[in-house]
Amino acid sequence: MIYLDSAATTLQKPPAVSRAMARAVCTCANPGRSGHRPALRAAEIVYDCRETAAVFFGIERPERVVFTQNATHSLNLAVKSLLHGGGHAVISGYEHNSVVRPLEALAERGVTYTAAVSPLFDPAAAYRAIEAALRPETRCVILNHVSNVFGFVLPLEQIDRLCAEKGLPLVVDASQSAGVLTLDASAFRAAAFLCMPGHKALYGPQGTGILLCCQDKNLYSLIEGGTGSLSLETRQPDFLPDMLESGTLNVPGIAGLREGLRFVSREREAIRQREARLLRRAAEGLSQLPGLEVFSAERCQSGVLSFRSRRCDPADLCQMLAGRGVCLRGGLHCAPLAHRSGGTLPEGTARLSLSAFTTPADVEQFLQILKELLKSA
Amino acid sequence: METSFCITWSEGKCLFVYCVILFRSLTDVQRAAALLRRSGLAAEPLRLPTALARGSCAQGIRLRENYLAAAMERLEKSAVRVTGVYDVLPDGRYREVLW
Repeated sequence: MIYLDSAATTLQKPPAVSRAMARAVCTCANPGRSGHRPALRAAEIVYDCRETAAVFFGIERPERVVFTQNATHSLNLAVKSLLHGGGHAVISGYEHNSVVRPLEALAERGVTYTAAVSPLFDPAAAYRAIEAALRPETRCVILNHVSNVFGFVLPLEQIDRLCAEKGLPLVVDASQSAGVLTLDASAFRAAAFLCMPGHKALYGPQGTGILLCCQDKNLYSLIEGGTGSLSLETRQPDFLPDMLESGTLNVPGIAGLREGLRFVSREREAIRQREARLLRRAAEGLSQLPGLEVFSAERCQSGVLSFRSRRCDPADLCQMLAGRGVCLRGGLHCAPLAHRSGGTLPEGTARLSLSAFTTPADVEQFLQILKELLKSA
Repeated sequence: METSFCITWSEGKCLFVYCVILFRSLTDVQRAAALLRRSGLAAEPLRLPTALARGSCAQGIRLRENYLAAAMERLEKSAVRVTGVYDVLPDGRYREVLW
């Protein structure tokens, strides 16, 4: 099998991830609920993961690392924290439904938003579009750091500066960049929340996610309940991480995520360089195949590459590839707005995405199999 | 050497007396324990009687009383919020320490 769908989830993980999860299942109880050894062991693992994430992402206080179920959960917390009282948001033209749908759901509370649609692989245009979309009533800006459809790297640093100048909090969807590109929260001036899954380029298991809170004001809990703290009080604690972490945590998942974070802490730059090399090779190989439109850029692209055939629907093409043991994703990738910006509606694209475990041979075999399929199609 | 919750005894002599520091959350407990361990101050996370936290779940660390001043200084420097400090008396009762 050739796995090229890491933008959805990384399938191959460092072996330490599954080992840690299996150990946690057998040895960890409920953190913070009891004082016995299995509960304390669980608490240590959870805290160590929190601290590892804090160090890796430049967050000074580990309690500002909140564990969630996935990036969508993190984004919902961030968006609803900033907009539950109403207001206007500006979003990039490359946002996922995990941003667009919470905003639509908030419409009944008077929330409006503007999608700053801009051409593909043009960071300057993306910046200008966001700047032009700002209004006096704008309450926040939401930016996908790397498009999950095209791998387009949006100009995060510049938009952070713009938001700082305007006094606006910035929400960063780091689903495709966390673990690959540099994300140093201490360098940001306006970023209020960084949202990411644990199961993609952080190499943790599915069911894990992180919300990094660069500030702790105006937080909004999606669910309330037991936290193991202030139990006599019927109101939800108002401090992090307890306010946003009700109920029993996914300790086996967090144990696995800790190992994933340790892996990327050691290897991030090597992973970035490796993925960049493989992405270039994939783009070059695809562009030599007849009848394909390839969405690639020399710069401002990371880890994800979309293409489409003039003769074959992307979903059908990916299904044919699946029949030959090649795993890609075809269709809209839950991001119709990005396709609107990239001009790939209504059928979407076929997408390949890389990880630390993708080999040059994987890419070459994929290209060969695709060539054969296109010939016979 | 025999260790009770509050005192470590050796050959009939008291070696160490312990105290406990309370925090509002488990994360603060773990953060405090990690900070103190890195400063060479052994601290053990534990659950404490709810009475110490005025009826709520009480999360804290236990450490030798002679570490307390250094520990409090370290925690203050790192802005870890302490909600209470108690001496553990030989009979197992707690006495609040004003800090």
